[in-house]
Amino acid sequence: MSAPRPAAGILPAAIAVFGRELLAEWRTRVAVNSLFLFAFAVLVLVAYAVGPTRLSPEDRPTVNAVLLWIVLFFSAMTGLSRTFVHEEDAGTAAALRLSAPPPGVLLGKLFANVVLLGAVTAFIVPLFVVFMGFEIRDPLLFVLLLLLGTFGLASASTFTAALVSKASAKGALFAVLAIPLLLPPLVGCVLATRVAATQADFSAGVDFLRLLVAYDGVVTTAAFLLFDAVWRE
Amino acid sequence: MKGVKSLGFFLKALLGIGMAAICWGAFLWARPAQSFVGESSRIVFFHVPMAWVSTLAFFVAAWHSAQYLRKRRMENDDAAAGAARLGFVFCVLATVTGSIFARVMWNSYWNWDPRETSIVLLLLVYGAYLGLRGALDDPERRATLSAAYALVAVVTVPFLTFAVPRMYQSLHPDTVINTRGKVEMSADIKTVFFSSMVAFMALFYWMWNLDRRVSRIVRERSA
Amino acid sequence: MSGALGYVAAVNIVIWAGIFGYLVYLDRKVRAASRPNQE
Repeated sequence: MSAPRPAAGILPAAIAVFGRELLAEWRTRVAVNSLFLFAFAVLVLVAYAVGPTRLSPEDRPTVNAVLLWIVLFFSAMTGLSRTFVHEEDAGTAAALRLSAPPPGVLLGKLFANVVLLGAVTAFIVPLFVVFMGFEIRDPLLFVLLLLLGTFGLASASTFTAALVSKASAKGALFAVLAIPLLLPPLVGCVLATRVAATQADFSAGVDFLRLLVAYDGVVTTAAFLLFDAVWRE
Repeated sequence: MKGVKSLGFFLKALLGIGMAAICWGAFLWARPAQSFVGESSRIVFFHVPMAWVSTLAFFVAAWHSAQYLRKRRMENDDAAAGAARLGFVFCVLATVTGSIFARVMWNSYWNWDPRETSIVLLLLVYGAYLGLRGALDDPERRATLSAAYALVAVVTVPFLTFAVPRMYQSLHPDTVINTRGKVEMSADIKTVFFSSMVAFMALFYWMWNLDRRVSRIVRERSA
Repeated sequence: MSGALGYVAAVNIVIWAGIFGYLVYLDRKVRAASRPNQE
């Protein structure tokens, strides 16, 4: 319904939004600090309470897979709603609405969140593997899962953040809205991570990867189609 | 006009009589199916329509959400919200009755069977949708944002219903109606079962219409 | 209870109670809306 203004194409706008987002983040480091600290604190808690030695070898793949994705999921819940919420709080949303085409805004914010969550994942996963004695039999499958899972988390969270930024009681609502959307990929990620931890057979995880690719594609497409209506509201 | 009115009355009376007949048929006429514990197969006549109506309501809500985003008519928002509310109610009923069924069949109220898992997801989606509506005061904004959420939710729900069965394939391969139902249902069970499906769908339609009319009155009076 | 018939009855009670509860909700909503507007 909206023809992007000729002055600003979608991609240049997305890059501008992305750069602005990272710059703003770099100045205050609110989201980065809270994300990393939160993830690290949860990791320490989990590692201290559960630890590598308290699990029997047959329980280890399942429990570690669940705990890892819980840490990543809650990190996403604490940090990723900021992207849109702070625009509304600071009153800069109106200016952004005028100066950039909606798909560009979403794309830029999505990239920013992917980078943010990707950084947290890259930081927390090696520590988790060391602290928890998490043996990965199939590293390739594991890394692909982390990439696709992180993208899925970021994609659904970014769209939810756009919705929530218009409502009151944003923080509580964000988790409530995001959980149903994120449950399917998270269940898949947990199951596939267990597969990656128990067997070095890549073909055993291919179905899960396919599923995650489909999920990421569908949710991102839906987000782009619906964002226009949400953003203009 | 008069004709339409009397047709509506006739259909409602038919639904009432039919519902009574279904209850009678479910308890007294249909014979219990083999391979179920005792008389427990009779639960099917009530539980499956709940789950079916709940799913149907979910898609109806999504359809009207899309219509709202296209045409911006508040009637579509009323319809989507009503379908979601009713879907939530039927979803709760399907969950509780399914849990009772599980108690009879598998001797445990809850064991994360694929069906149980996917209905929990459906409950969460409905709950989130209604929570979002509750958090927004401005009617137009509420309509737009909840419509967008309903549409994103409707595309994610199928993933769990396809993903989860892989997870539990060893536990309950063939215990729920789908695979067995169409093949092995005896004629009397089939009659009551499909009548019950139709009757509960009609009941849903009636309740949904009432809900929309009430929402419309509320909206017009507060305007 | 002979052959789990009690469970079938329980299922019915749950369903009709749920539908009844929804009617109560609609009733309250209509009543709130039909109250004369006090400004």
